[in-house]
Amino acid sequence: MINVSHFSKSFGNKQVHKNINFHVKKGECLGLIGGSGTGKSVLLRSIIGLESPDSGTITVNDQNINALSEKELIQLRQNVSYVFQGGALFDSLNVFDNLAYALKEHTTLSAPEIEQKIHSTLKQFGLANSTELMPSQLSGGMQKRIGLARAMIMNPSILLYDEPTAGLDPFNTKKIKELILNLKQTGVTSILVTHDMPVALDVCDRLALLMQGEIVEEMSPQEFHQSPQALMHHFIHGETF
Amino acid sequence: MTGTLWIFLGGVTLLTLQIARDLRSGPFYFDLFVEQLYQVGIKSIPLVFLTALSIGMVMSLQFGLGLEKFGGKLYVPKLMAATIIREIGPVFTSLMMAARVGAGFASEIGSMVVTQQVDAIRALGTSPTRKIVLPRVLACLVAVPILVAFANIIGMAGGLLIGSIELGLDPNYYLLNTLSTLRMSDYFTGFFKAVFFSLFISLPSCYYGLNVTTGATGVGLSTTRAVVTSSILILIGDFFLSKLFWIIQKWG
Ligand SMILES: Nc1ncnc2c1ncn2[C@@H]1O[C@H](COP(=O)(O)OP(=O)(O)OP(=O)(O)O)[C@@H](O)[C@H]1O
Ligand SMILES: [Mg+2]
Repeated sequence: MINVSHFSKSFGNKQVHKNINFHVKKGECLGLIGGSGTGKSVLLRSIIGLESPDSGTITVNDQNINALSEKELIQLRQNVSYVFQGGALFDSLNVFDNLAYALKEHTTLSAPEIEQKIHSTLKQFGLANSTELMPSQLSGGMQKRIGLARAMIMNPSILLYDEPTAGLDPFNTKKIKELILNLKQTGVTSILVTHDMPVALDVCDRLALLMQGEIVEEMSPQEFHQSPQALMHHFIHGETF
Repeated sequence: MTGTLWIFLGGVTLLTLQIARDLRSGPFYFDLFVEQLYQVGIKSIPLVFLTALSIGMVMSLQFGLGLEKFGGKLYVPKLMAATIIREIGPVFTSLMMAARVGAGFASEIGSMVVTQQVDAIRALGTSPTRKIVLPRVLACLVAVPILVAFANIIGMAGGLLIGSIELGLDPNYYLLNTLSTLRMSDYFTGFFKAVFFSLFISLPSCYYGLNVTTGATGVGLSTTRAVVTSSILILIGDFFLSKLFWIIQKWG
């Protein structure tokens, strides 16, 4: 479903990724963990073609991302959603219009159907009364959840989550975790970037540790529990970066 | 220095090609175009009005005082009409628009880039040129020539005001003289200049806005560059366009 091979990426003379290789099967959820600034966001952005690799290939649904024109990318992005780390809401549009954006663009739903869909989505996120608010009137955590809702509302078959629970309270973290699990049960393929180990262990089928431009370790949650010497344990206890 | 010039020219060319491609097919967001038309056109009316009126009045006064010495006060309307329609109207209106609209475009688009909203437009399967650039470029293309025509009228009205109050010219004489001086070619010259100038305003400011790289300082820098570039293009472009229209007129 998603295949990354020999991916490398630099900004100026700063090499972020040296040689990244991994694969995510259909319906699977890969947890991507790694220190701040190791390039997790850059990797997700590259998968939907917002950044282009210096070398290596990324294929999504058997399509080589870098061989696609902007027009074909637009097609692809209707099926692949990226949940921005900071929400990236349109600050000139209110919450309702932010959520309606992709629906108006890519579906033939009528206005009442769109309204219906937005209200039921917002309810799931516990934000039912915020349709009229502008992004600047929302708290950081609310923006984050609206961003998540905006990415999920199109029912994409691939979802790339960039720290969806960072900065959220325990109640909302649990809620988001359940939403991600629900989506996974419907067959959604996903990559979850997170620093929240309990969430990653509950949700992901496999975990990958990104360090110094490479995936240095890959294992399932069971293997993680069984191997206390793994680098990942050092990472989450702050003993290595 | 020359490096940045080539990067700018290359970038604007690519942007223009993309706009041309987007115009041929695919969705056109009419509501965004109307919104920009309001922002660019309607909201600039007070500024353009004030600029045109004061320049018209000052010019009329200066021409009057200058020509009075040679007994040429009666030529003020003729002189005013020709310079306003061909030069002052298009150039000053466009310069004011570059300051108001160009700065607005560059900073607004720049902030969208910095807050990843432009990325979000792409990530949600839409095109930033269609959503952001095209409505703004088209709105300028429509609004600037109309505002120039408006400025011409206001400028000449300001001239008439001063002409009759300060210079003691008969208003009827002033008006008739103005109308009889102007020829169709004068209107066309001003109009075509305005069309070019509108592109000189919208394209650089959209380009600089989209190419903001770093935070708030980047937005500030891009805004400055957009206004400076647009202004220089308008001033230099004015010379070459004037020259071109003279040549065309001689043929015709
Ligand atoms: N547009 C850019 N220009 C220059 N450098 C960039 C750019 N985008 C990212 N980088 C650099 O790439 C590196 C990785 O950034 P990225 O945002 O992917 O980190 P991250 O792993 O997501 O970190 P965090 O956990 O803090 O979100 C950083 O060192 C950053 O400085
Ligand atoms: Mg990140």
